[in-house]
Amino acid sequence: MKNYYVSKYLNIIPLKDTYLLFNGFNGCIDEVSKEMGQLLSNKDKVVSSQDIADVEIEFLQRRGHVTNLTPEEEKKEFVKFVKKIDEFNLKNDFSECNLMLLLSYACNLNCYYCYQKPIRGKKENKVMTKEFVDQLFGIYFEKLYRDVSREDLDITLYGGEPFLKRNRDVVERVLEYSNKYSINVGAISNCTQLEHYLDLVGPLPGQINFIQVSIDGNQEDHDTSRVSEPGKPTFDTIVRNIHLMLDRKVKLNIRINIDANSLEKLAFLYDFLEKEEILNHPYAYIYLHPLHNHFKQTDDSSFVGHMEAAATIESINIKSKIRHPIRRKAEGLAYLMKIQRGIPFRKTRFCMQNIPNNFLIDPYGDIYGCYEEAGRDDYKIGYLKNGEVYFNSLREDYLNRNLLNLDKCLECSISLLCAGECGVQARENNGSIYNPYCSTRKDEIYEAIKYIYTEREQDDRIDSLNFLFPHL
Amino acid sequence: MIQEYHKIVKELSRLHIVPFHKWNETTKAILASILGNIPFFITRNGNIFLGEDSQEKIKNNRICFQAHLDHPGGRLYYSQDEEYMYSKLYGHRTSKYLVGRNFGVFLPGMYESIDQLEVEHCHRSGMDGVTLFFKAHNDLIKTYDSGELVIHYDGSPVLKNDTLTNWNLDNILNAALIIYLMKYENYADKYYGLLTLNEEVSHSGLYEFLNIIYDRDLYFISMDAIDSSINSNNGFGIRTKQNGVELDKFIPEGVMHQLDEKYKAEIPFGVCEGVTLVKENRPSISLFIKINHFHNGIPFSKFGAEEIDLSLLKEYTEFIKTIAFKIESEITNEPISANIKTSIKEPDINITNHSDHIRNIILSCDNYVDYLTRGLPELRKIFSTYSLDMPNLDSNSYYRYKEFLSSKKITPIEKKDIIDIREYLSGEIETLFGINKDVFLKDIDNIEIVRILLGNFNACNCFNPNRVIMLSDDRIDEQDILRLITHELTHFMTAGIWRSMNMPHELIKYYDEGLAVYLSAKKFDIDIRQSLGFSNEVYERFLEQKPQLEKWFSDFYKGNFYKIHKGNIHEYFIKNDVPHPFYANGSNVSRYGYFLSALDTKRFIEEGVYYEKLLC
Repeated sequence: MKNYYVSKYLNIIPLKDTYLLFNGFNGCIDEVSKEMGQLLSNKDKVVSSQDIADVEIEFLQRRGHVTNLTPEEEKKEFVKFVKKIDEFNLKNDFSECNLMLLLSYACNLNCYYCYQKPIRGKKENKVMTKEFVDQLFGIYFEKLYRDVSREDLDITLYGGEPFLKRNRDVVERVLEYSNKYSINVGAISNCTQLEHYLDLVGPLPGQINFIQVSIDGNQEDHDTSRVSEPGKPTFDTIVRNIHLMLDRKVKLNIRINIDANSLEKLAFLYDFLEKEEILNHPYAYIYLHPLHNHFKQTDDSSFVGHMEAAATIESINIKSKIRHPIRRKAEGLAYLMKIQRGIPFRKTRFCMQNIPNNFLIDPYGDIYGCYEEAGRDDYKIGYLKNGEVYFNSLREDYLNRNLLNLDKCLECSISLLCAGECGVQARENNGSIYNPYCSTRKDEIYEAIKYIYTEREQDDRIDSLNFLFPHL
Repeated sequence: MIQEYHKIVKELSRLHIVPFHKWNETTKAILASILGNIPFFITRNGNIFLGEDSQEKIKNNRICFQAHLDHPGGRLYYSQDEEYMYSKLYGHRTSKYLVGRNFGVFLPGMYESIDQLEVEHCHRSGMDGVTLFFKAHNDLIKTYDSGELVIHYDGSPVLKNDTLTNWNLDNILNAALIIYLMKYENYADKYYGLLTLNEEVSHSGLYEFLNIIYDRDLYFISMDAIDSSINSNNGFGIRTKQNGVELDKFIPEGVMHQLDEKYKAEIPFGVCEGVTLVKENRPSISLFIKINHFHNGIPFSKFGAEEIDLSLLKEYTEFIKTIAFKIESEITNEPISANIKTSIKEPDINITNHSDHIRNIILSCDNYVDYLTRGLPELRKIFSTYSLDMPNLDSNSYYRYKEFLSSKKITPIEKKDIIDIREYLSGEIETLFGINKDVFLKDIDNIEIVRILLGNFNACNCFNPNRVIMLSDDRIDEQDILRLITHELTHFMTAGIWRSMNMPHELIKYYDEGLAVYLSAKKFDIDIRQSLGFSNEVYERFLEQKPQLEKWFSDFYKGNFYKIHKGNIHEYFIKNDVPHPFYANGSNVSRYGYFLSALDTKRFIEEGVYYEKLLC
C-alpha cells in the first residue's frame, strides 16, 4: 500500500456543497465532494487506499493534489521550479524597460490621503528640465538600461501632478523622443489641468496615450476629499476632461478611490457614469481602489479592505458589474479555465521595485525603485550626476526581493500568484521587505478562483456530444 | 536606368494591388501599357506571366524571375445601415499602433488617394489581417457605389536625395525590376518573369502557378524585400534558410562557391515565396533586398513610406544580372529537372478502425471514475496520434453514452466504394473547374480513412501529418456513411485547387463546404436538405432566416465584427455579434455557413457560372 502526501501547494476552497481543489503550483482546478475536500484539508494527512479508492488517488496524484514526495522534497522541487522561472523572466519578460518620470513634486490638489504630502513642502519647487530629458536619452540611457534599446522603453509621466502648466516644456521634450523612438507614453494625473495639454494627448507615438485618473466616489464624496489647494471642488472638471480625452482616443484607467463612506453610494456614481456614456466606453477601464495607508501617515479609520469592499459591492443592487479588487483578480486568472498545457504561473517578482530596468527618476536626478517611495531620501536606490549613474546597496536589496528569497512564500500555496506582495507594505507592517505582508490576499485569491469557476459554469456552452444536429 | 525604373514603379503603384486583387478592364489596360512589347498572360487567379502570351508556349530549361505584386492593404466596405466604413487590412497581424492613423483611399488606376480615413477602431480578425473601422465620409459613400475602393498607406513613389520612397516597395521594387530588365535590357528574349498575387496572405498566387498552371522545367529566381533592421552582412543577398527550410538546396554548387559569404544570409522572420518554391520541390534561388519601414513600419510601431537607397538598388540590379548569368551557365550544362509530380492511376486506400478499440475501452470501464483514470489515458493514446481534442464527457453523459454504445453497430467500409466515389468526384471536379484530373490528383497517392468514436465532429479532414479523413462512427447513421465519405473526399481531392484560389480563406472554406454538400447530394441523388443532414423543420427555419444569415456571413468574411454606437455624447465602436458560420454556437441556425454555401453552389452550377463566380 502506497502512501501519498497532500501537496503543500494545494488550496481547498469551499463551494456551496462541494470543494474546489486548486493547485498553486500547476494551476489544476477540480471540484470534489465535501468528504474528499475535508479529507484533503488536513495537510498533515498521509493518504492511502485505506482512505479513498486507488483510482481516486491516481487521479489526485496526476492532478498534483497529492504527491509521493515528502513536503520537504516537494518544496525542493518548487524552489527549483521558481528558480528556473525567475531566470526565464529575467531573460525574457523583464527585458522591457520602464521609466517613470516624476516631473515635479508639486500638485494643485490637496487630498487628505496623499502619501506625498510630507515631501511636497521640501521638494515641490524643482521642475525637471528639457536638458535633463536630453541627458536621460543621451549619456545616461545605456548606463541605466542594460541590453535594451530606446524603442523598448515605456514612459509614465508622474508627479505631483504631471500636467501642471509649468511642466509643459519638459512634457513636449519627452514626446519628441516618444515620436522619434515610437515610445508609448502614459501619465498618472488628476486631470484637472488638462486644458494645457489637450493638443498633446492621443493614440499615436509622440502623444500621451494612456492616462490614469482618479475619482473619489460620487460627486458629493469626491468634492469633499479630492479638492484643490484652496478647497475647491474638482468633480465637474475631471468629468469634462475625461470626455475630452475619450474623444481623442486616449485610453483611460478610471480609478475609483473608495472608503467606507463612499462605498455604499457607488450606485449613484455608476448611474452617472452610464448616463455620461463613460461606463461602457471602450477606452475607459473603470475599477475600484480601496484607499490604503501609506507610511502610516493618514487617519485610516474609514478605510475598507479588499474583501469587505467586494462583499459590499456584491450585496448592493447595481446593474453593471463593478470591477472591485476581487473581480479584477478573477479577470486576471480567467485564463486558468481555458489553459490545457504549459506553465500557468510565472510571477516571481511583485512589481517595478523588484524588476531590473524599471526606474522612477525625479527632477533632482534621484532614482527610486517604487513610486510610493519617491522623494523619501532613505529609499533612493541611486542618482544621476555628471554623466554617471550611481546605485546604492538598496537597489540590490530590491532586486533580490523575489520568491526565492522570501522564505514565507516558499511555504505558501499561492505564492506564484502574488509573488510576495508589496515590499513597501512589508517593511511598513512587518519591519522588512523580506517579511511579506499578506493581509487578506490568500482569501482574495480564493474568492477570485471561486468567481472564475462558478461564472464559467453559468456560461458553459461546450459543444459536446451533440448527437442530433447538425450532421456535418 | 533610374528614370525608366521609376516610371514603372509609378505605373505599377497605381494599380493599388493589395491581397485578393481582381483585375478589371482598366487595370489590365494599364498593365499592358506598362509592359509594352513584352508578351504576357494573366492566369485564372490573377498572376502575370511575362515572356509568353499563353501557358502552352512556355519553354523548358529557362530562368524565370519571380516577385510578388501585392502589399498589405484591403478593400473598403461601407455599412449602409450603420453609417461607418471598414476594411480588412490583409497582411498585417498586429492591431496595435493603428488607431488614429490615416489611411489613403484609392480607386485602382488613379495615382493619388481620393480621400483619407482615420482609424477609429482596430480589431484583429482571423489569421490574415486586422479590420479597421472608420467614420463614413459622405463624398466617399458616393464614390463607393461607383467602384471598388482600396485602402493602404498613403504615399506615392518619390525620387529624392538618392532615395526612392513609396507605399509598396515591398515588392513593387522587385516586380518593377523584372519588367525593367525585360523591357529595357532585352531580358525578355531569354528569360521569363512571374508576378504573383497574395504573397502577403497565403502564397496562393505562386501555388496556383506551380500546381495548377505550370508544368515546365524552369529555374526560379525569387526576389523579395525585407526590413533593414534584420541582421545580415549586406544590404542584399541570397537567403540560405528560413523557418527551418533550406532555401539554398537548389542553388548550383558552381554558383554558391563563387559567391562572397557576405551575400549569404539566413532570414529567420516571415515566410517568403522561396519557402513555397522549395517546399514544392522546384529549382530556385531566393534573393532579398533591404528597405526601410518595411510594411510601412507597422510591425515596428512606426508608420511611414517604404524607402530604399538608389545606390543599393543599382548594386542589387547588377547582382541579379550576375546571378542570372551564372545560373544560366549552369543550366546550360545541366538542364533543369522541375521535379513535377504526375498523378498515379490507383492510390493506396487505407482504412484504420479505432472505433472497436474505443468501444471496448469505454465498455470495460466499471464506472465514471474508472473511465477518468483508466479509460481516458487509453483514449489519449489514440486521440493524440491525430491531435484531436480529448472527449469531454461528464458523469451523466458517460453513463448515457455507455448505454448508447452497447447497441451501436459499426458498419465496415468497402474499398471498392471508395474507388467508385473517387472516380465520380474526379469527373465532376474536372468538369466544374476545367482542370485536367491529372493536375489535382497528382498529390493524392493515398487516401487514409480513420474511424474513431467520441470525436467532436461526425466526419472531417485532418492532418497527421498527411491529410486523413476522420469519421466519428457514433455520430453517423449507417446509411449516411458513404455520403459523408463523399463529402470529405471532395475536400480531400479539391484541397490543392482551393489552396490556389484568389480569395480569403473564409470564402474558400465557404465554397469548399458548399461543393462537398452539393456533390454528395448529386452522387446519392438526394436533395440539398438531405445532404446537409437537416430535417424539414430545420431546413425551413434556415430558409426563413436566409437574408439574416447572408448578412452574417458577409460580415464574417469581411471582418465586420463591430458596429458604431451613436450616443448623445460619444460615438464609438462596440462589438457586433456575428455568429461563426461553421462552428456550433447554440443558436437555432448553428453552422449556417454550410446551408448558405450549399445553396449558392447549387445555384451557380445549375446556372453554369460556377467557376466564373469563384473568380469574380
